[in-house]
Amino acid sequence: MNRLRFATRRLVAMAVAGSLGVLAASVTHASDHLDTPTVIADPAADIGDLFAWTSPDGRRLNLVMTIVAHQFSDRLQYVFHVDSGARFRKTTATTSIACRFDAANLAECWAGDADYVRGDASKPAGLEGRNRRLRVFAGLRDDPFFNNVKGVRAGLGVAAAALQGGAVVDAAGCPAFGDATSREVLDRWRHTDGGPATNFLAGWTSAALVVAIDLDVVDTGGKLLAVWASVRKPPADESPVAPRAKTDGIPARPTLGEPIERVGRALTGNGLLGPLAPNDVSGRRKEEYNRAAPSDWPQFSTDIQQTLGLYDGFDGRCGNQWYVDAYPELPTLRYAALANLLADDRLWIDARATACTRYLAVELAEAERPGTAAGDCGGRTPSYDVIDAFRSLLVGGNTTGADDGVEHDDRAHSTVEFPFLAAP
Amino acid sequence: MRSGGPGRAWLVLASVACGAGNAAGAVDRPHATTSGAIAIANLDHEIARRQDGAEVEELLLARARFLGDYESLDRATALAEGRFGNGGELLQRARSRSAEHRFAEALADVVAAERAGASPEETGALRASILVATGRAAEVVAQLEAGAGRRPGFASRSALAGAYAAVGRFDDADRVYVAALGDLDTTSPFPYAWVYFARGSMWSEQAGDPARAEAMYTQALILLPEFAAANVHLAELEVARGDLASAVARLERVVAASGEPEALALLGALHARTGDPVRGRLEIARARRRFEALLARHPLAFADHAAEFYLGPGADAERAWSLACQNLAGRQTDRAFALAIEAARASGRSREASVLAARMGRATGRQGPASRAVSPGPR
Repeated sequence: MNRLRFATRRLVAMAVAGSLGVLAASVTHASDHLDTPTVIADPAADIGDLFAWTSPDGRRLNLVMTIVAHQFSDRLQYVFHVDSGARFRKTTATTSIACRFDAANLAECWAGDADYVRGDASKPAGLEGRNRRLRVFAGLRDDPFFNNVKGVRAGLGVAAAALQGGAVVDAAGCPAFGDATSREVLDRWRHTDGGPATNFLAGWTSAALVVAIDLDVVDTGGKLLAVWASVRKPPADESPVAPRAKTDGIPARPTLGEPIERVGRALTGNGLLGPLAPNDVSGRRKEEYNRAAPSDWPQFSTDIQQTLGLYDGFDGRCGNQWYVDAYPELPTLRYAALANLLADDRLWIDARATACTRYLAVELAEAERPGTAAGDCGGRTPSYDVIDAFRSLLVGGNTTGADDGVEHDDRAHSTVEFPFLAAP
Repeated sequence: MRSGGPGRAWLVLASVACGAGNAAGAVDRPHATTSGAIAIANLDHEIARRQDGAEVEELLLARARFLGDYESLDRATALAEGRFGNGGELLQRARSRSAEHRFAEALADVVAAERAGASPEETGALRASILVATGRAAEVVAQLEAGAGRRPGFASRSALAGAYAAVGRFDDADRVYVAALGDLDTTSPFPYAWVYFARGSMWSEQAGDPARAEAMYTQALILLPEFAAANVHLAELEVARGDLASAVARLERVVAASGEPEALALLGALHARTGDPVRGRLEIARARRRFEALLARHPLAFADHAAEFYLGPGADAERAWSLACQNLAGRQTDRAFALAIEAARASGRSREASVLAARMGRATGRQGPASRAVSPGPR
């Protein structure tokens, strides 16, 4: 959810860090130098959100990547990674759906070696692959994400003030806020400027890369799918001209470059990495997170653990967060299991299910009884209230209770009709 | 706001016949950046999305600097003037005021931001850049060297390079600019284009190496073809080496996109000299109106450029003198002195010219060619 770098993540960091007296510079500014993060960053390299869910007929996997920008970069690769396996967190195969764009924003996408599409993908019907295994849309859409950013900021400000006022933090890192503070935090989260909650992102539009792909292209390792997305710089020696054609007429896939951005679940990279750290420190860590290879992802569980303690205290009770039962006798490891799960930052989808109604359904079912089918594809559709579900789990261990007062987007999006997101 | 040497454009126009060759300067490895057109579309999208929200001023100032869009400058400064409730907002107002060349007020905002708890690192960097822009680079070189050593990166190195350029250490500046480019890890073309523009300005305006400058401007324009100031600077070099057709075509594109007054004035002067005096006069008259309109809104930001215009095709030495004095009051750079001296001479003020010439070396503490901080001005 990098598009909220200047909203959610920064607001969290500033509200908390500021009141703790550790407010620090992000990057030095100079009056005539174009050196601010805002200006230096390329919004075309910034993934807003990732959505992934199965079609109601159980034949396709739908994938959506929103980009902060209006247009895709002509120098980057946009990649969906679909890992698959028979068991939760034990994926054995990977299929990449990689797209690139030219200066006119014409798209060219490869679905592994199974299909290929090239052309103007900006019409609502998108483009169908040569082998009809893939459909791609790439263009401007209404942004489906919704979030009461101002209310959350106000709530975090209350928590930050309590911390500055001396709230005691336990050995696991959970602050004892007390009932009054807790009530105020959660109440502020549900309102905007003291009134009814409003969606900070109402009316926002984003470039969206939308893919519908046959499930049998991506479930080669099993029916449990783990999806993440990345933006990559092509290798320096990659020719800008189309690579040589293979015998089946599909051009050879480009070599994937180094990642510069990645997203799995909502609010993980941005929300859980160093919100109490100075901005330059958390920014560097986020850069490392974005560029890390999957084998290095577990190293971020320590960072995430530290933040989970803060969230756990927001309802005035420490120790009632999702997954905390894993180490009841070891407070310092109270948040380790959940941190470990979240560091494996992929959206989990049970491709056996055709109903998709619940965010984190696969993870919740596994937590309840390992190996049990969720009966729901989980993943993330454009209609899920992921913010409420995720924060509520972190605060009180349930998928409701820490609501931000915004339950749906201002526009109606579809989970069945391609390209799913409402027109801008 | 792009800066130009006193009477530079008009002088090069007068010396077309003895133009220099187009020797290539050293240009670094190519940068894999998003195309300029896409980057600008995305910048505009982000500006529209943020409406009047936080940090939009930065984006508006970028639009003004790169595209010569002074309506964006108007909006950025209006927003910044209305927001000063905390250290961050005061720093933003300082940046905006600095972009308008209201340097004294910008420095006051930096002090206020410090009192309001803004990060010493941010306030220190901003203060240093203002001092560089006001001819006091020598005071901050050591500080910037220490900063670049402590936290090497694009921000610290580009700031140090700008200071080196301002004190005449051109080779050092270029070396540090190259290092700053190496620190960048973004696909945004804006910071790369800015550094090439800064290097081009340094080599052409201060170090007297137009061939090297041309290579830098060319590189900036490969990254961002719409970069108005780089186009105008490159057009001036093209005029100097006799490629009038390329200069005219380039300036016409800039004028069509932005109405940039310096481009209009140079285009008018070119047309006037190349057989189309009527069109030339119209363009110069339009440049005059545009300069005056901008001066009414941002008097300090455009004082130096307008003074140069009135010393050249604007043909009003009294107006040039007035504007040059205004500019000199705001910043005592070599270039500000040189401009005032030229305006004094052009308006028959030989005594004032002598006094200013005597003061110039003492104020800036440097001998050598007239220098100025490379500042795309409010751009």
